[in-house]
Amino acid sequence: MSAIPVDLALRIIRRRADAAGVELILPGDPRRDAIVSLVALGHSVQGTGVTRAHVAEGVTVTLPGVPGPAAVLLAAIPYVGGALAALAQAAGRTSVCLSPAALATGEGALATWWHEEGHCGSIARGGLIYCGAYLLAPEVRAGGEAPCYGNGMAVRVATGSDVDDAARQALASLESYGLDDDARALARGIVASAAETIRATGDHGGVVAELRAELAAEGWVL
Amino acid sequence: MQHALDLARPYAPLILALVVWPIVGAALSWWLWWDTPEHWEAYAKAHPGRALAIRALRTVSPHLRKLVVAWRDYAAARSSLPPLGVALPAEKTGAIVVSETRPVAHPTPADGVAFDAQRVALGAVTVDPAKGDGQRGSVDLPGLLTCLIAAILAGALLAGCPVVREVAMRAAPGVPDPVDCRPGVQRCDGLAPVVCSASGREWPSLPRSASGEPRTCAPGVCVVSDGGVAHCALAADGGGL
Repeated sequence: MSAIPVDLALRIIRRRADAAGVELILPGDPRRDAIVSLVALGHSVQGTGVTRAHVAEGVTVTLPGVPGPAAVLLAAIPYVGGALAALAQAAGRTSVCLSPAALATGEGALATWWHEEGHCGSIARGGLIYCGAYLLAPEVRAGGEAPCYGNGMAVRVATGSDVDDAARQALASLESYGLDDDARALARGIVASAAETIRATGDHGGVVAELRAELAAEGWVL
Repeated sequence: MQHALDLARPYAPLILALVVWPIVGAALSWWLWWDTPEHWEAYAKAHPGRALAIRALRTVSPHLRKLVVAWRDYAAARSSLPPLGVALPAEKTGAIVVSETRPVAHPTPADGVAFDAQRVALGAVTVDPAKGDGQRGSVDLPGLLTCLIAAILAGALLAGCPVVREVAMRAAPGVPDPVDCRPGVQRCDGLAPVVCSASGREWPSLPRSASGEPRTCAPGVCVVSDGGVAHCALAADGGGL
């Protein structure tokens, strides 16, 4: 199976972002600098050991759109407030900010995109209140992240990865979300379910069918 | 704990209104404080929308900084003035502090004699309106640090408190309601595999689509394996629901 070109993957991602009404932020965009600063600050405050360099290179973030008054308050945050407010005022739309690492390969970019689509769906359903619960409760992070990692696993398997390897990588990545034992057990259960679904169907709730259709529209067959 | 949560549930709006909002509102009000009336007026002129939002926030939030300023002025008046001179200067100091919240009430350098005379009359205990004393600061460092520390403490308090977590989860659309399930057990909820969490919520293992619709196993089915793992399967595989 030949590698999917990154530019082809990006065309698919842009198309799907437009269709979903999602603002796409790519590396090099000044708004990403503001997001990286904010995420790095969060890690620093929590003492997770994750460095700013790691965040800048490897962390993809999905942020909710923010209503007007909240964006006004965001603008008052020193250093990064202006950029955050500009980001938040992007028509109040959810934003997906892709990392350089996510765009290293076409397969990786697509896996990351479908992962983030899951978050876009959660935000579309739950809005800012859901995001608040996500920040407060490890269980919400586990229940929100693990199914999205299932999406990424499905794309990786469809593009040539082994399902067990993909599951192991997903579980390793889930360790960086500050989960407690109960939340970790929930995440493991969801990843196990996702792995079984991918083994049994080659899909994950229609994600791979969407991937194949998008690639076919670009003249690419898996 | 569950019983306590059930008892507290009807009061969730009150908890949010009387505990969470005052903490957040007070922190923001403290932070959004301009040093001088001139700074504030310039900011309000440049950003009328933001100024409106900040005024609205101050209106509905505890304003601890005013309390601190009032206490400091009170302490200064009691400790540094001769007994017979206290009454008048202290009143004037207070009057200036109050007047600073009303842009048209205090003299400016352009008013010349009146402005200078007022400063001289008040002497050492007078607060210089031009330099300010914490009134309406342009996001000064101590205020910012205080706000950050308060926010971190409030965040840690909120995140570490099971009741707050539970209230947040119950308030959030898209977070499943607690049901009578055993943690770790998986089952099929129609066409969706679900996993029971420690708090008794059944979380779907399939995420939502970008539009927010839940994904399902369709056109396949949901089955539970012998190992107890709920998952999607092709329709021809059958399997027990």
